[in-house]
Amino acid sequence: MKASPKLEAAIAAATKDLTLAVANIGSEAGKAYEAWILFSIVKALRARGLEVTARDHSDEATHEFRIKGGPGKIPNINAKGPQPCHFRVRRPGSPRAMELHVSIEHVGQSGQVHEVDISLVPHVVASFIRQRPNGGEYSGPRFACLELKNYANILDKNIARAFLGILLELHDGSFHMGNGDVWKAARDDVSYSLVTSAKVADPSVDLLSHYRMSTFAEVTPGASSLNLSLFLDRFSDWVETVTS
Amino acid sequence: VADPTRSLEYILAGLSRGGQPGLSDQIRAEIEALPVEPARRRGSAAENQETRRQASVADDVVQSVVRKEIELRQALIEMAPDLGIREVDVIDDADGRTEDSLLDSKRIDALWEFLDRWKGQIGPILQEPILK
Repeated sequence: MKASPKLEAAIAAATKDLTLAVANIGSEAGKAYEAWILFSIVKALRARGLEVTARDHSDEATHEFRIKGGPGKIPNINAKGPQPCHFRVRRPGSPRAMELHVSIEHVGQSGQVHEVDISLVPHVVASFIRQRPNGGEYSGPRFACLELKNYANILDKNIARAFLGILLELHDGSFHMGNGDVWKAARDDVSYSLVTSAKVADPSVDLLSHYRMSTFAEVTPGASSLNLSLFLDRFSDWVETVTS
Repeated sequence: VADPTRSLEYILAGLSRGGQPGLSDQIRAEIEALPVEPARRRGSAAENQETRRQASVADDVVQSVVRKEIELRQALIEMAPDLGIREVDVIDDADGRTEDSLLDSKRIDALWEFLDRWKGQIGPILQEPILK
């Protein structure tokens, strides 16, 4: 074989510029898929007449949307420097606003934190966390948790197993209201979906479906838009339900 | 489980050294999932055949990942104005520095350029004749 360390050097040279231009391509830290799914959701919700606005960490309208490279907290409302943004979702005339967040950490029943790629949470709880001196991980009721996987081929069953663990941890989030009441979510209040660019084998789909978790495979911009439409229809139905 | 050949080790190491361990991890996973082929040839011929097979897998993964990334970024660029978004920046966890600008079309150009260079590197391995 002619292959030699020269090949290694040539491949390294080919990828060096790629790294400068597009950090973390092909890794779980790649954010283009998360952003594309998020924007697709926003577009679908607006098409249904919901008010969806991009907001910065101070909860002010913004045209410059920032996403954190890794999982993080909801920042304090007065935090300095660039901070991650979110979308506020509201049915016109309804006081019940929600927020769509990307890659924030959620506190589970065990006290451990877990990254949720896209989560739909009540605005009132997120606002409360923003008022804390350092912000914080999300702790409270949640209405949707999306696990996004931008993989090349077929998704490993361990992904489904891990997502199931997140459901176990997060399914009954609660929030202590100022008046002493506790707002506690039930399993039926939360929609859990695995959305991926890859194929998903039947055993993984069956595993998640047993726990009423949805799987949407081969959701990509280039593939048949049917898979994307199916996901967006179901998710939009759910958001309309929980914001009404 | 197929053993990565020496050539594949060079490809995976090159991707990592170039700063793309994510891609090399995906290629390694695909190679480990390859069915083991019965050894019809011996010695360098068998090694050459296996190298080509695994290099083909590496090529498929890299091209698939990079083309998907291009599609995603193009879709974002088309969608953002309708949503009133002018910039989408990925910021560093620690210091808030901008790591990536998802609406920057120059980054799409860089992805296409990378694909051209990649083909130039992997092409000779894929086209190498199998030794008899």
